[in-house]
Amino acid sequence: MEYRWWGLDRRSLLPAAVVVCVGLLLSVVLPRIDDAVAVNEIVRPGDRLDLGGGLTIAPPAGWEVLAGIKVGEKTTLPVPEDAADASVAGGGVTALIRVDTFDGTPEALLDQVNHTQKRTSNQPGFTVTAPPVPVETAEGNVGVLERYTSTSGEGLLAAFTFHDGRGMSLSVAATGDGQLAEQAGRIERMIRSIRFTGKAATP
Amino acid sequence: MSTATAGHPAREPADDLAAGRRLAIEASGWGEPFRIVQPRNACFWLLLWGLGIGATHLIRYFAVGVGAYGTGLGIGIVAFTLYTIPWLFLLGHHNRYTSLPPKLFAVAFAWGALASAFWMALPANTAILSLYGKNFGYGWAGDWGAGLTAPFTEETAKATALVLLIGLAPRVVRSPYDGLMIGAFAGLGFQIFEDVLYAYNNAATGFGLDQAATAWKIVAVRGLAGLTGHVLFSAVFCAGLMWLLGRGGPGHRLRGLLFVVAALFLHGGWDDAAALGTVLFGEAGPVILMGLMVVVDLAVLWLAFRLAAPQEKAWIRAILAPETASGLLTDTEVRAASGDREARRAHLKAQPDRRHRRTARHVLASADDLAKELALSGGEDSPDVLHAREETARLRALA
Repeated sequence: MEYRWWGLDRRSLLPAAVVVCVGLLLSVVLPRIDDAVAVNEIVRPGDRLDLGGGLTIAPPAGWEVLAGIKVGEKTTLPVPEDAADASVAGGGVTALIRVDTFDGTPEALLDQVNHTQKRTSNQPGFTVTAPPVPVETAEGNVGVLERYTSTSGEGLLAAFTFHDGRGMSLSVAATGDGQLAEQAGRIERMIRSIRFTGKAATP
Repeated sequence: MSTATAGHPAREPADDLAAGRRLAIEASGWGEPFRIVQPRNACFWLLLWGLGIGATHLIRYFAVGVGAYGTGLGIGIVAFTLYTIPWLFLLGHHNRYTSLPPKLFAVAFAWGALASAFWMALPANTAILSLYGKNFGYGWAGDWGAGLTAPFTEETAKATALVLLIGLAPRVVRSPYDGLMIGAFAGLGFQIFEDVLYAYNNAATGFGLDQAATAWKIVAVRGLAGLTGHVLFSAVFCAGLMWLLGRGGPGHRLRGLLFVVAALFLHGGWDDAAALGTVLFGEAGPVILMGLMVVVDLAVLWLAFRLAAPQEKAWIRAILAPETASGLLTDTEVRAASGDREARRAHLKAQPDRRHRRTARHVLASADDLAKELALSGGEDSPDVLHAREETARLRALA
């Protein structure tokens, strides 16, 4: 009986094939399926994202929610008060919102976010193109906003702080062929929509 | 007493015992050499591929933020490396009966750390959690996603270490007890590297300002949770898989399936403890459920050990049994040497005084050595076997 196949012991082929199949299923097939399934969580007019502890934001209607929980969505566990992430995308730009504990001014928070951005490689060539300017929410909270460029495009960064010891960074990234300017109005309205009631968000 | 039948030579009981010894050594795979480098074995090339691609994924993962979150990552690496040491002692202590070569555990650990964690589980978890969010809402995915993802992706990924080692060392990896030990080491590798990943990910907490405090918090929380975590789950899962594959003797496939399913449930219950505990017991539920889970986890592990051990004990008994015929060991000593800690303790306790207890302890230790030498020699009287026998006799004479 021939025990070799292409120089390999035939008896080793079955266990090897099982491991390869499991490996490919987990590392290739499942991510491909995920890529093929469209995001179906769309922001409707009036929708707000719950960022925990009474902090909410209203992304532009029609954008996709990539991560985050809408106010009023039924959950077993509340959105944590000390740390929440959300991400929305539309019109060729993506906005990443991060809320976490922070004891300081919006300027200090923006400095810290810049410090981190320059040391990570997810946005190579990150360069702030102009000094930060004040930006105000509809409820009167004044934060700071700056523009940046990177090898993958352009974007803007905004930072706000809140009296309960939290801070929020909002990073908007675009590929650099005009989407940022095109979506400027919507982004501005999203920033102005940031609201902090100081108690758990209700629909 | 032996009887001769027509056409068959008479068989002495000693022949039967010697045959039983050879069968036990062969069935247990004890003493079989294990080589990692086997160019004719497909699993060897797959091992290189899996470790290589896992290491590549790991480097890519950490390289993105190492400049910003180096403090958290550094503390994670140092603390969890130290955390690994007592685990190695604990698992080494359980590598008993027909013990496995440490090299084999090193492969299981490395595969669990690199291939299972970074090649397989990380992309699969990301994909499934994303699919849950897209299909059932991010709130639902946040509550229940982890517990309905990780058991399937991570337990399967870790169990590939066992399948790979069955391919690499089919004569060595034979019993559910072997599965239990290999699963534990694959789980340990997975857990330690996942812990470091957590330390790194959480370094971004508080916008990366106080990475040291965050990292130490992760070390404490993950270190504590890890006591009944991946090591335990994959030990149970892989022991079950061995029964399911028919390697724990006939008629135990259902038992194997139950252990596999139990490991999935234990893992899922732990990962969803916050939401599940809240649903079951209210606000204090997560803590109550975690407490209960620890008890259930340990009970299932204890049961897996208890059911896996008899096969191993029977092999040791069969290997040492011929020594009773020659009078080197007594039946009681063979039973104690092939038994668990309780059996050994009972044997020592039965000795009349302290001096006899000390001698009995030494004789049991020499019986362990003798069994191992017999396994290495394939049951033949090698010089090492003869030396081990002399040592047993010498120690007994000291009484």
